[in-house]
Amino acid sequence: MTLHEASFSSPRELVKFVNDSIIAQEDIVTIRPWNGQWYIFYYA
Amino acid sequence: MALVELDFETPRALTDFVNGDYAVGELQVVAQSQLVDGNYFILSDGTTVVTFYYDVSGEFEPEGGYDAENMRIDVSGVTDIDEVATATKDVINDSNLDITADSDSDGLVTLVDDDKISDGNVDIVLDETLDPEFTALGMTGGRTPIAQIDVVDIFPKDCRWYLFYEG
Repeated sequence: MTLHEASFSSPRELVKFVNDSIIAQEDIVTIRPWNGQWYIFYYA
Repeated sequence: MALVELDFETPRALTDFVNGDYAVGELQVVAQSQLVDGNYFILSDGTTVVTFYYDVSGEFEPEGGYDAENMRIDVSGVTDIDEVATATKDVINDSNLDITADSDSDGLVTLVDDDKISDGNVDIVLDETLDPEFTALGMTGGRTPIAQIDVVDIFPKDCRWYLFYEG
């Protein structure tokens, strides 16, 4: 398992990514807004 | 274990740090004419240590003989620097070290640890009687990945990304 990072222009896009990728709740490290983007850090 | 904080310019840099890196190194070898029987160097992957002896005459044997920790690089039948590099690479790759070697025509042998571990940062030891043109760099840059359970938090502030982890 390695740490990954992805960014999206809206929370909805981020949520779609998580659900489409089937990222488990316990593998999500954090979700943060920054500089007009939404960032997710997760292990996969 | 103690809480550690680091900050990074980008999310990618932070992620790369967390995921660790391979220790790397290199050997600049010399032509066979610049070697003498018994010239050696020592490599370690942090667990296994191997001494590599150059056999120029085809008859050299170290005290105690050859074994998994004392390996022979037979350069008795080669002359050019690229051939010495190839022979060196081949013997390193045949050893029990978790290090993969590659070589080029200029005599440079590159070394990459097979695992991302900080323990792989072990200085290469050179025989002091080696030709001064025979040089070594590393092993350096190895970093053990931070386990998921040890990552406490990640957040951005003032154009920097902050990582808190137990380490």
